[in-house]
Amino acid sequence: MIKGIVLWSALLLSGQAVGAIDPFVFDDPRQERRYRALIDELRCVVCQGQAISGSNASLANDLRKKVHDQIKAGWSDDRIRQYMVDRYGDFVLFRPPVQRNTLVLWIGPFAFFGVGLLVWALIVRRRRAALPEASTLSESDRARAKQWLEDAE
Amino acid sequence: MSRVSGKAGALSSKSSGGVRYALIPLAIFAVLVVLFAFSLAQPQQDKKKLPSPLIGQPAPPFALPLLGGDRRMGTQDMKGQVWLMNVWGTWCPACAVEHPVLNRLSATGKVALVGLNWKDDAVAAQRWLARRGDPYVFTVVDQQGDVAIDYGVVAAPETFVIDRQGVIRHKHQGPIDARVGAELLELVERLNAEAGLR
Repeated sequence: MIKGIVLWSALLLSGQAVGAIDPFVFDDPRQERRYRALIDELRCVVCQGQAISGSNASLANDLRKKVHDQIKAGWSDDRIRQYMVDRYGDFVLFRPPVQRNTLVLWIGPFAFFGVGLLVWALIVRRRRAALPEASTLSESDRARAKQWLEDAE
Repeated sequence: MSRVSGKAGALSSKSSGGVRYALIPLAIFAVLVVLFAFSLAQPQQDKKKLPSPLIGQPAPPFALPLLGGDRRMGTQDMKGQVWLMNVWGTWCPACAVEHPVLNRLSATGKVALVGLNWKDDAVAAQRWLARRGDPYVFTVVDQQGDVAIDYGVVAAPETFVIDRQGVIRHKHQGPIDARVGAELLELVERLNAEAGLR
């Protein structure tokens, strides 16, 4: 049973390795996972809309190789990110860091949502205030209305 | 009470309050139209140009084999002078466009150009310089693209201006036309004068 599971996972893992674009070899699966995560969050600066994981541009190839070499050399994820930012700027990160010049980017959506919520609340309140009082219908009126509705059926 | 008075009131009301509210989405829409029009009118090339974090930083040192030779040359050889590093390759059509301008810049005798032949075929590169003229003090070969990564090169051609202290002062992305060439010349002269004051 256990043997079967081991064989199965070996088969699954090998499939993953064959599916990779680059013939890079890692010391352990953890390194490879880090590599995949990193190349997904680094922008291909030539093609701009893509991550370096999904690009065949020559520079993207070079940068993937760089990331591979750095992981093998024992660099931390943060050090690799910083290496890229030092050369290509914050733009290279798909997930921009929270700092003064990106504050609008991070807070903007929430601020817009907040303003929308506020406007919505105001409108709802105004409309509610504009509605006629709920208790203007007297008991006899209510009975008459009921009568009409029943007649209509 | 009569300002937004329910759905029907807001839609059909002729009161100034209702009209004013109806204008808000229109105003937002108009602002967006203006913003989008501005961003559309911007030339495509400008959007591709990214600010380089390397400006004001020391130029990453390198020593690479000379094109067509085995001696290594690099930043050390340009120490103490203002110089331009031009990233090019024979596979890059825009490099052919700017080449005559580089030749003219070099002919003024006021600018020291260093070529970084980026991921190119050495034979093709030598043929290119033989046919189009060689504006460079020397050309080094970056076969692996490591130096290009250190300089944050996105796409050839790119040109860096490095001062006497070895600091990157300016970066130009894309081909150098006559106007940019004149600007670079001016910058080099200014940097030379600046360094002379120290």
